[in-house]
Amino acid sequence: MLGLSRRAFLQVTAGSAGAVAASMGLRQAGKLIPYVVPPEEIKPGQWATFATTCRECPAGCGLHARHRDGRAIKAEGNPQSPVNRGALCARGQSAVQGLYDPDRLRHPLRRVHRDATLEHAAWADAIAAVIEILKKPQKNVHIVSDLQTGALAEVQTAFAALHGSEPVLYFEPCNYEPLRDAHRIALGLDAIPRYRIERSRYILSLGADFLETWISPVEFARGFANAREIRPAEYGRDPYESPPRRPGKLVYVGPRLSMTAANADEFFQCQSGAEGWIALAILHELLAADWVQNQRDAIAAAAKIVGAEHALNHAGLEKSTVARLAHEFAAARGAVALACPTAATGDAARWASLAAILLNVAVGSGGNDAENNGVIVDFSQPHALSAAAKLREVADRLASLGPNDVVILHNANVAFALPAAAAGLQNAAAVIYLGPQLDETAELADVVLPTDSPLEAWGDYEPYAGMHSLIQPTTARLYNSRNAGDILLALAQATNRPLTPPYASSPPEDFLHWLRLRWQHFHPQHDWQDALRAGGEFDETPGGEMPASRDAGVSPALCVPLSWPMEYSKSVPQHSAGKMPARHEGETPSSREADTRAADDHFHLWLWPSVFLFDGRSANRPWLQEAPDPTTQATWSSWADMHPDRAAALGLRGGDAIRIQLYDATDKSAAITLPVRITADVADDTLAVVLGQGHWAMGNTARNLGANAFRLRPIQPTRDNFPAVRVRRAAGANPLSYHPTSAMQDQHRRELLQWTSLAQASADPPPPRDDAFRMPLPEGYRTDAYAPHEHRNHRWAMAIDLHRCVGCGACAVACYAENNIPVVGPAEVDRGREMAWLKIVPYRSPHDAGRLGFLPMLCQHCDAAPCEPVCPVYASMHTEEGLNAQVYNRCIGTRYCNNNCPYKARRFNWFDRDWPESSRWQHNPEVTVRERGVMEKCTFCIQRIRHAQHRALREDRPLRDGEIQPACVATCPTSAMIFGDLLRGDSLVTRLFRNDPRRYQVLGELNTKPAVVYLRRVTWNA
Amino acid sequence: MTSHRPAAVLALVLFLTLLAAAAVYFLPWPAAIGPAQPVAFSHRVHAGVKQISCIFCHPGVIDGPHATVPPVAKCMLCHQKIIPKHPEIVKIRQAYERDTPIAWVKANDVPEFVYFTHERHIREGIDCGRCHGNVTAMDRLAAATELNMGFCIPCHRDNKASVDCYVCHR
Repeated sequence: MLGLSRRAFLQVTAGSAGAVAASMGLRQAGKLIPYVVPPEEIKPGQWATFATTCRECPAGCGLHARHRDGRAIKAEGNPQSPVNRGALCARGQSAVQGLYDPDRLRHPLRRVHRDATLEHAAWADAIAAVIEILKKPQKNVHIVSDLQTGALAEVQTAFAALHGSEPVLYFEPCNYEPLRDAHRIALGLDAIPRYRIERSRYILSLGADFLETWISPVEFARGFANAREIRPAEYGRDPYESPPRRPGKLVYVGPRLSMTAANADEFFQCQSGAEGWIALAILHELLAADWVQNQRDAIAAAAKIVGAEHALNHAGLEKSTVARLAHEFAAARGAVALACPTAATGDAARWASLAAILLNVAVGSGGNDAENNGVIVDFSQPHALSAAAKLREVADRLASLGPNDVVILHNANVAFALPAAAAGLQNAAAVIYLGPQLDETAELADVVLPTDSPLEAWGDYEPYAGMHSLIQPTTARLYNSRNAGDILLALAQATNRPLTPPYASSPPEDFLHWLRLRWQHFHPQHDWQDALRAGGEFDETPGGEMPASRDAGVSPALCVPLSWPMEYSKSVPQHSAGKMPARHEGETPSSREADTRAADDHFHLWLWPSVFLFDGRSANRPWLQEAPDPTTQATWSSWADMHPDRAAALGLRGGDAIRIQLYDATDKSAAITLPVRITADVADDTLAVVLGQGHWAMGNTARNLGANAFRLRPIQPTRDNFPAVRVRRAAGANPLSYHPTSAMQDQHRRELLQWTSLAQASADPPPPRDDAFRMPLPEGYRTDAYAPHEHRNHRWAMAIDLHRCVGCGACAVACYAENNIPVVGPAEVDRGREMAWLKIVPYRSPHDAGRLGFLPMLCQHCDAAPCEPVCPVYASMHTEEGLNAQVYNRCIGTRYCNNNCPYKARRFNWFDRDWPESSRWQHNPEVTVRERGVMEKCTFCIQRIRHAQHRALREDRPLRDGEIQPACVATCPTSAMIFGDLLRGDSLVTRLFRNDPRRYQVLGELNTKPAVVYLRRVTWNA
Repeated sequence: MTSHRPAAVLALVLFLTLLAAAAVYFLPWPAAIGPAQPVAFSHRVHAGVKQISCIFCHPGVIDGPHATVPPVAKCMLCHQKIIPKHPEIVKIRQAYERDTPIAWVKANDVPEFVYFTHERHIREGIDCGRCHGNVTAMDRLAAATELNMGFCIPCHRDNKASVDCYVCHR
């Protein structure tokens, strides 16, 4: 050759391209724009953290907003908050995307008259218009708000009282009213208690999806994982909980294999509505075997509502199974029954909740537990949701509106979530909407006033009574919005009736002042600045207990006689009269049963809020739309699940469009069209439909995706959990609203996700190590042709405990947020071009069709990485700290690396992304935004590694184990992922890599020597 | 004797003009001239004549990735008293009074896929001039070197610093 070095060759050949590029002036001189007067404590180019509270759902997790150069970039959990302990769910992660949502309202809107369209208005004009409305001689001003506590609730209440009005209604589409009703009926406590899941040793879930959406899912997921921990105590990860004496068990009873059900050690698929009967059958078994520890007479009296035989018939389970469950429940010493599906309003949920209460009282999970695990069902700290209005109340209030009424709606999307009631808004004299987005309800309003995003606002929230979590601005206002509290205070001021809090003598000048007065009143000894730094006053030290819960050692007394919802007990659910044994472990129903309802188009509806979109409020977040549903892998989707037998009888194939309407519908408009997914994951009497999609306003991302299943939820409580529906094939084109990233749940015996038995996992001494395991270190090279990599100072590695992973997808969304990963949209997802660096793949257990394992799959940072030798330009490099680096500026997009990657962890940029201006503001400035033609993949969050190393250097100390937390590790609600250095003998990853009996490497037989070790998922029946 | 050939003369004149232009362009100037700035700030005066420490105006180098450009308030710290009537200083005072930041033009820049941290380099005792040249001689600041891998890597090698891709690229 010419003796030309590779670099010289590239320089020469690049010259011509460079000349062209230079002539086009590709690079423009940047500007450096310093502050005029710099803010204190904020340094350019450096991170700052603001503690606030997540308001994406009523759970109220503590949130740390990471702020950089004037912008909130990333949401993290607040480790000090007892609700979430530093973790955050996918919705919490998307809070920043809500802040930078390009569809946010930027200025007030108003209608000149009723039939006019909403038009841009100045604040002064909009406020003047509202004052004009309020000054008219109205009888009533109604406030309907999303769930608020604390200062904003006080302002709202005071404002309502000012106008002599009825109480403020807190509208939550998922308000658990059957559960609250049951607590009122059985215990005289109209509240949602605090469930101390971490103290449980046995959970019987009656359709309660407590790991995904139910009440406080991050808190419960952490408690659940801790209660089931099987790693030896010295590996105990969660510093807040001591490892249990023995791993807990989850039994799930319900018609649909939800994410929570898939995590259950036993899943009993029952007919819709049979959950309560199963609980009652178990209760009868407890009574018969004399295992009831508390209030035996009251429970016996209450259980008399149905005979043991009758309950068993409805339950659809074998008597022996019920007896076994009863024995396990009684013997567990820390058993708890959870009831009420998240979106349920019907009597079946009331019924099941009552039965669950009786079970809890019977074994003393509300107190009086013999072994004194502590209270599990803790009424001393009722949840904020206890203040939510009943759907009936909201509907009645809206229906009662007349020309003398003005409605102020704050962030309450009644038109979407309670569509049947929203018509009442038209009769009101005026509708004023306060919210950050122009959603379905806002479009009906006469005046729309934009409020701050929760990340821009002052406020507070009390997730549990006594737990005061503060909300503070984490960035300056992006648009011309205002705090909802300030708007109400200004309105009151303008009508010369300023509001004053009950604990102050004179009216505060603004909402922040009100908030501080409130803080001084409740926490006179607690400094405001300290509280802001901590995120609130949590009254709880790690590992300790709230003082209140210690006093509540006695379970509340049952009401005698117990008034069951008699209507429900008299009638028998349509399909569950003992005909159908509940399916379990992969059985299929006999063909005879299928024949009997061949042409039957009648189903029990089962509405479930998606773990990402929840009740639809976060539907305008691209990250959440593109996040694959944990069990189905569906993105951007809205669909209905139907059992194969029923689909066959109706002549339906997967993807066909079906028309779903209420069985006894007089109103034909209450019908939706959806594609059907055919799966045995739902019981054959059930049609499961996901909530959250079907927006016709709100924003460009959410609009026109699927159908709004809230249309099928009547205001009047139904007899079953949800109403009965009728299904027929829909005419016309398929709605195309189902986009799974992969439909495969079978591993084809490749054993990517491995299972082990409890006996093996906790064997002492551990079973001998498998020979296929190769450490991603020089010692792992035995028969290799190439020399091992030598590492300098560190060898980063990750351990993923598949027994702790519940599949919630928070890590995947955190990865999008941290690493500027583009969202591609449904059409590209269908082509397999989604860009997720981390995906969680559900695989079905080979032993138990009712159980899924969740395999978080990311770049394995192999020591002998197949992607590295095939790259012609050295863009795929092994770094000296063991990472497999992708060097974007070298990459020329041959995609050879992707071809050679056995884990399919690499993603290719097929297009330049058209980032909306405001979503660019969210971009992490420490991560390159990739362009077209470049391969990308997980970096183990190299920016966080560098940051931690840098911090350690600055503080002149070595790195601490566990100090580096990639975005996925930091957010994981169950601490399933552990990151660390394999060159440290004492690091947790080293111990897990070397000693854990459950360790294995995915496709380790390929001798790639992955630096991600998985700990096998534990099953009770392997 | 041949008559003058206008074409030849023209060519000669053109050649000489180009030569003169090239000479002017390539002449070893005392210092390079950087991009025009909104305010005629002189590093030569501040860092050279007045001997103000770099860190006084660029404290970010000590504890951050960016050197940081001083906020307008910092300019006013001195120039409230020092030559307040100077037309360039008047610009600064106006910016301060109108609360409008000054948009300086970058003289040194690295591509966006490069993550450089001043702090690490200053901590290692590397002189600012190593990369930024002799700013005490520059009126209008110019880049002293092309800040590319050809410049960075030899220095990293000489100082036994890591030359791993992930040190600078992410």
